[in-house]
Amino acid sequence: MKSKIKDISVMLGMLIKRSLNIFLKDKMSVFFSLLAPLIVLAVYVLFLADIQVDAVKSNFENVPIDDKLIKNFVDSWMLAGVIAVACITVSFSAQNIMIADKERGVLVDILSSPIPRGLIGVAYLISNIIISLCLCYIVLAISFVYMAISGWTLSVSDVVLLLALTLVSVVSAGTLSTLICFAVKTSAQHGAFVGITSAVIGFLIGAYMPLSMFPKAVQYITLFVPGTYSAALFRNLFMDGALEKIADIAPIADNELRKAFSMELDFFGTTIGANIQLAIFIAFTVLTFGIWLVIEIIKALKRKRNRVQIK
Amino acid sequence: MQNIIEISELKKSFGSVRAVDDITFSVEEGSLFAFLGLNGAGKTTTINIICTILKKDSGKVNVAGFDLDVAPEKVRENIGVVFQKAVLDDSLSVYDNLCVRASFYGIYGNKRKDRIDELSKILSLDEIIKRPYGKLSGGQRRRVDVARGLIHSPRILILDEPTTGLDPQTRKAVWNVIENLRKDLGMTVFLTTHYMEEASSADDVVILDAGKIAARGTPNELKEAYSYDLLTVYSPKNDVLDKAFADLKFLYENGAYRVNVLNGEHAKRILSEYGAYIPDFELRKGDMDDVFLNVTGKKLVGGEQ
Repeated sequence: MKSKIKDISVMLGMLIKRSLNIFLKDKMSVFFSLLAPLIVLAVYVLFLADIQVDAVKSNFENVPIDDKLIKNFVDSWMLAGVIAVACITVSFSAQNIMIADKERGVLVDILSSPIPRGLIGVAYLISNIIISLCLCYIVLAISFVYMAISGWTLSVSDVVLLLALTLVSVVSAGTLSTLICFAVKTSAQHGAFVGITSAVIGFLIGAYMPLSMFPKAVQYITLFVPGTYSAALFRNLFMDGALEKIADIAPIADNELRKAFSMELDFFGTTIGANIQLAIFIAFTVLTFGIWLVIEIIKALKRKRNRVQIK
Repeated sequence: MQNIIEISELKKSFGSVRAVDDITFSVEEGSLFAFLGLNGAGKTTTINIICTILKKDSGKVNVAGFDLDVAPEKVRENIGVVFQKAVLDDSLSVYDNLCVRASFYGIYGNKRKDRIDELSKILSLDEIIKRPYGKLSGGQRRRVDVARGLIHSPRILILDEPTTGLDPQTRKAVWNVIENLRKDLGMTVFLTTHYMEEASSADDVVILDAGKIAARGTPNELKEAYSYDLLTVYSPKNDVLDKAFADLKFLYENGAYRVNVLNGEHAKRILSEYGAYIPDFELRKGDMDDVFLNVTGKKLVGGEQ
C-alpha cells in the first residue's frame, strides 16, 4: 500500500515535471503567453493613459488635485487590469500542452500504461496552475516595477493580498480553461480560441476601459464572467492606496471614483464592494472546480472500464 | 506452446463502417506474429482494442491470461506498445522521455537507471540518449520508441507498422532490432505491416481484409495455398483467349492478359494449346505479394471483367 502511494506520487510528479519542461523549452510559447497582458500595458501607455487622466480631471475641475496623484490612480487601475487579464490569458494559452497531447496521440500512449486514470487530469490541472502562476507572478513583478517608477502607493498587506489573489485567480482561470479546453481538439483550434479570448477578455473584465462606461445590459453580462470579480478585486487592492490620497484632498471623489472605475460593481441594481465580490468569485471558483471534478471522475471511470472512444 | 493472446469473435464498428468484423485468432507465446493488410483493413483498430485504448463492441480478448474486460490494468502491465505515430516529446531528451514513461509503470530511482542502461545497450541508444527526441532521424526515433515500449519489460511487444515511412536501409535496421528482440529475449512480438517481405519472416501471418480474416498460416503454408505463377500474355483482347482463361483467375489490362497459373507445367500446357493466339508472353514465379493479392482479391479479380 505504502509503495503504491509512492508509485502514484512519482507518476504525478513526473507528469507535472514533463509539462513544465515542455512548456519552458518552448520559448516562443512562453513569450506569446505573456503577450496579451503586455499588449494591455502597451495600449495603455501609448493611448489610454492620457484619456483616463483627462476624464478624471474633468470630473474634479474645481478641486485642486495634484496631476501626479491622478496619474498614480489611473496607473494602478491599468496595472490591476494587466494582471487580471494575465491570469486568464496565460492559463488559456498554457492549455496547449493538454491539447497537443490529445492531437499527437501522446494521451493514447499514456493511457496504454497502467497509470491510474484519474491521475492524468489532475496532473494537467496542477501543471497548468503552476505554469500560469509562475508567469503571472512575473507579470505582477513587472507591475510592481512600473509602480515603483511611477509612484508607489501599496502597503505591505496590499502586496501580500495581491500575491494571494493572483493565486486564487490562476486556480479559477486554470480550472475554467481546462473545462473549456476539454472541447478543443487541435492546436489550430486552440490558437484561434486563445486569440479571440485575449482580445475579448480585456474588454469583458474592464481592463481596457472601466465597466461603468458600458451600457447596463453589457455590464450585467460581464457579471457572469468570473474574471470580472477577479479584476474588481485586483482594482480594489491596487487602487485603494492611491484613492485614499485623493480622498484626503477631496473626500467627495472617493465614492465617485469607486463607481467610475468599477472598484464597486453594479450587481443587477445593487452596488457590491470587495467583500461580496470575493464571495462571488470564490463561489464561481468552487462551482467550476466541482464541475471539473465530476467530469474527471466520469472520464476516469469510463477509461478504467476501457470505454474510451478516440476519434 | 501456450497462447499469450486469444481473441474471439471481436467486433468493432465506427458508425456504419465495420472496422473489425468478427475476427478470431490467437498468438503463441514467443512467436513473431504479423498482421498483414491494406490501410483501413482494421489492423490498427484491433491493436488499439488489445492495448485497451479503444472500446470493442463485442467479443472476448484475453492477453497474458487476463481478460480485457475484467482486468484491463493487468493487460496494460503486460504489453508494450510502439504506435504508428511518434508519441514521445520532441523537446525532451531521450533519457527524460524514458524516465517519464518509466514512472507510469512504477519504475523509478536505481531500477529506472538500470533499465534504461540495459535498453540503451540492446538498442544502441548511447550516442543519442542526451539528445532531444525531435532532433533524431526516423530510424533513431523508432529505436527510442521501441525502448519506450520495452521500458517495463513487458511479455508482449506490439508494434503498429513499425517500419512505415522509413527509408529501405533504416527499415532493414529497425527490422533487425525487432527480430533480435524475439530471438535474444524470447519475447512475443505482434506487429502490423503492409510489407510482404516483413510478413514472410514472421512465424505466423494473419491477412486482414475489410475487417475480416482472409487467410492465416505460416508464410510457407500461405505461399503454397495462395500464390500462383503469373502468366502475362501480350495480345489484343479476343474471344478465344477469353474463353481459354475463363476457368482461371485473369485480368486484362494494358493490352495484356494476366493469368494465374499453378506452375510452369500448367503454363506450358496453355502455351502449347493456344500458341497460335499468343504472340508474346512472360512467366513470373509467385511470392508473398501474390499471396496477399490473391487472398484479398484487391488487384486480381475473376474472369467476369
